Amino acid sequence: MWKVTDRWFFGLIILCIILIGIGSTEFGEKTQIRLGSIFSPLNSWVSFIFNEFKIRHENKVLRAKVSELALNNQILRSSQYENEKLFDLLEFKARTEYELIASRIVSRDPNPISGTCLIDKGLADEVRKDFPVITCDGVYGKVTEVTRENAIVQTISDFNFRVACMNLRNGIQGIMRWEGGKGCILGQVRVNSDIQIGDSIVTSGLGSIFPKGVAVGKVREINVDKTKLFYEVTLEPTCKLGEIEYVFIVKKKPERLEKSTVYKTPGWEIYQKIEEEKIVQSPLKKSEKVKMSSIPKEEREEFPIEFEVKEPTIRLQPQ
Amino acid sequence: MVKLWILAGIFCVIQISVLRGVAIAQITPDIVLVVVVYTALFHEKAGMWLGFATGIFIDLYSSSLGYNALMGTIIGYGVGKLSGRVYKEIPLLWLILLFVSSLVHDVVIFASAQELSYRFFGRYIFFGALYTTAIGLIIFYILRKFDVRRIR
Repeated sequence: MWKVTDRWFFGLIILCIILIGIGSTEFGEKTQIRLGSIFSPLNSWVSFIFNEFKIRHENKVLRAKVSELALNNQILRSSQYENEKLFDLLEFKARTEYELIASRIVSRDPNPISGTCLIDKGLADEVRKDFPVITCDGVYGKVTEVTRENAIVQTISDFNFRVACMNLRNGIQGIMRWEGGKGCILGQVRVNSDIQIGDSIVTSGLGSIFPKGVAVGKVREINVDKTKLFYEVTLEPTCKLGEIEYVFIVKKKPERLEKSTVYKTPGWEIYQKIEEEKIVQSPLKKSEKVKMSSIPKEEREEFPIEFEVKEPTIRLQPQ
Repeated sequence: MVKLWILAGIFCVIQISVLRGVAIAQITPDIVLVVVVYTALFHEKAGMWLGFATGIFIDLYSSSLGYNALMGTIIGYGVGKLSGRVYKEIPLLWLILLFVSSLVHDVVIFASAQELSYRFFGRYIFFGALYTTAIGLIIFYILRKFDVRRIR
């Protein structure tokens, strides 16, 4: 049986050798290509089916990649936005005359009436109660509570917030407050005062919290209030409350505090020094710490005195 | 037997079309050779014819006409001759046959196309034979399972 097969085998070997010989000629190459093209559609079809699976898998991978890249893109956009904001803040800090502490808003009070927020600077950064808080655009609020690391800021959108303002054009005074749906209102402006839509309203400096001339808003609408004695001026706040992420706390400078008052009693002089170290260095060595509340009111007498910014300490000094 | 021919045809199409997709470091397993060796081992003379036919088909898409047909015929014939003298159901025998067949086949095919070097031998032929052997053993087990079921 194998003998027949052996013959066939040798026959096939000879055929193969002939094919090898033909394959090296031009005719052989052309024939090879022609015969190959007969099965090409079949190959393409199989390739297509297999590639379909491959493409599906690739598609899945690419979709995941696209999602990842989209997320990265969002992060980058957010970083760019933050970068631009910080750049604006730096620019503002460079051109302002105030001594500023840059701070980031950590959280906002969800209560719509309170309008407070938490910032990431506190006593450790020399932030104190009643320090004004501003942005590049204008007044943002004031510090109401301070802890070592954080401070609570009462923003202009708080119902209890008030700030003395004036019309930049002619100095007409008023008090700004927040009235929920109505927005920012400038009250206590006498009827028939010269106030026009579009006028810029700035802080007047009264009240000794906000420095003079910080932008508050622009006049959007002018109405007469119920008493018909005052205008109720609606303002468009200069700072966009919802969009703010970074704020500046205006550090009160010593010269501004010179105007503040403390008390003295007969035979005793009370003064307020804030920096602990300077007290130790002062020549008044016999001084001792006392609480202001421990001095009877009738014995107090107002007088101007210098003191410096730091932790407040009340001292009683014999004259 | 007809099923083996159909399978060999499918494997031929896969070999020349999509097998590059499972290439490891540009090395692809020769699944057509696996079917030829299997047919030759378990169906003796048919292996030679299958080797020749699949070789011709592969040759149509390779650079040199006739070499694959030649090697397919020789391997099919050689393994077929051997199959009558050995106990076929030993996986180690399958492994040796697959590895040697692949090695001999690739040496001749690559030698026909270019000058062989040790580096080329190690990089493509040796690892190609290992890859074919690994895949071939799986195919052998599957085919054997179907074959035994058919005989029963």
